[in-house]
Amino acid sequence: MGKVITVTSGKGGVGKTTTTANIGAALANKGYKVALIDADIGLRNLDVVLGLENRIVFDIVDLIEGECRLNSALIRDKRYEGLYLLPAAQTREKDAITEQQMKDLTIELAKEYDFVIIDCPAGIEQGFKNALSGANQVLIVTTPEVSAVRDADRVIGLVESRGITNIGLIVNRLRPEMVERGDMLSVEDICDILAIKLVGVIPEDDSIVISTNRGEPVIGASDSKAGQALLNLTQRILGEEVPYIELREKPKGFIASLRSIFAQQ
Amino acid sequence: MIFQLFKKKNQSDSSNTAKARLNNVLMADRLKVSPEIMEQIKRKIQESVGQYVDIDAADIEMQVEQKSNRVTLSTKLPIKELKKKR
Repeated sequence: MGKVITVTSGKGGVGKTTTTANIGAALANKGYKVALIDADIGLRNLDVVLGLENRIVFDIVDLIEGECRLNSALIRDKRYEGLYLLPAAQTREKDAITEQQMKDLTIELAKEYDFVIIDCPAGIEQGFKNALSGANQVLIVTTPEVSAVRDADRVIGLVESRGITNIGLIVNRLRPEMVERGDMLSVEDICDILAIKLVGVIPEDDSIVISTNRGEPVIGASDSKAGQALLNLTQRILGEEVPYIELREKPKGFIASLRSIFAQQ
Repeated sequence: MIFQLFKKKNQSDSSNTAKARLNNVLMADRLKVSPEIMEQIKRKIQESVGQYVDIDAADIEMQVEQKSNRVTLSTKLPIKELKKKR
């Protein structure tokens, strides 16, 4: 049986879809068979982030309503061997699927795939409940902002109340230089408040915008710090111990480099 | 360039503001009461403990922690000085 992982956040726009796409690509890169499910019915986006939008024929609602077979609904990513996408329906609503149907679908997929990763819609309504129905593990994505951390706290409570204990925290869009000068919540601050296990810290990075423009996972971009952070976090999901990378840019100038040498002591 | 050396000391601290605000909203969220009630709880604690010791009201800290099914409320009451025995 494969593992079912749901990526959620409460608040929208914190990076759930980008995180889902990249974890999926990174796992496929390691030789695993991965099915990504876009559970955001009505507002599908995982297809464009992955650059697969032109290849959609059937979607999750077609599949559940019996319009097509599992294998014809899943789109194979030609760049990453073993990576498949089950797109959301764009012209339907969240209640087109029930929790039980979603759970059955994830069980079905987990028989064939090593990982089933679900991109949860923002909010805590039906779509959220559906996305959690078959999960063994939940990844909470947040950003260093009061609103996002508050929503993450609420979502953690709801996930725990469903009896799911394997919950990991991803802090996205961190700007280390802002943390350093005291103008952004630090990873430690967020961990103290949310009190769940940290699995990844992803820095704010232009290369995310660039790769999303192109419809490519950022893990494929060499020398991208965000890409490296996503690869490391994928290894942590696999249970490996990986040290956290230095997120700050190398300081420029003589005094600044001197200071950084002393700061490291 | 020499000013760079001292720059660290002049740190802004909007992150502390964020932390304090976050603590407040989470407290209210986790206890499912309004921030106004939270303020009242704070005032009552201050009043009752204040009968015995002098509390620095401006620096009272309250925190609500949620661990699995249990919610705990903890308060930090900075004491200025012990009141003399009557």
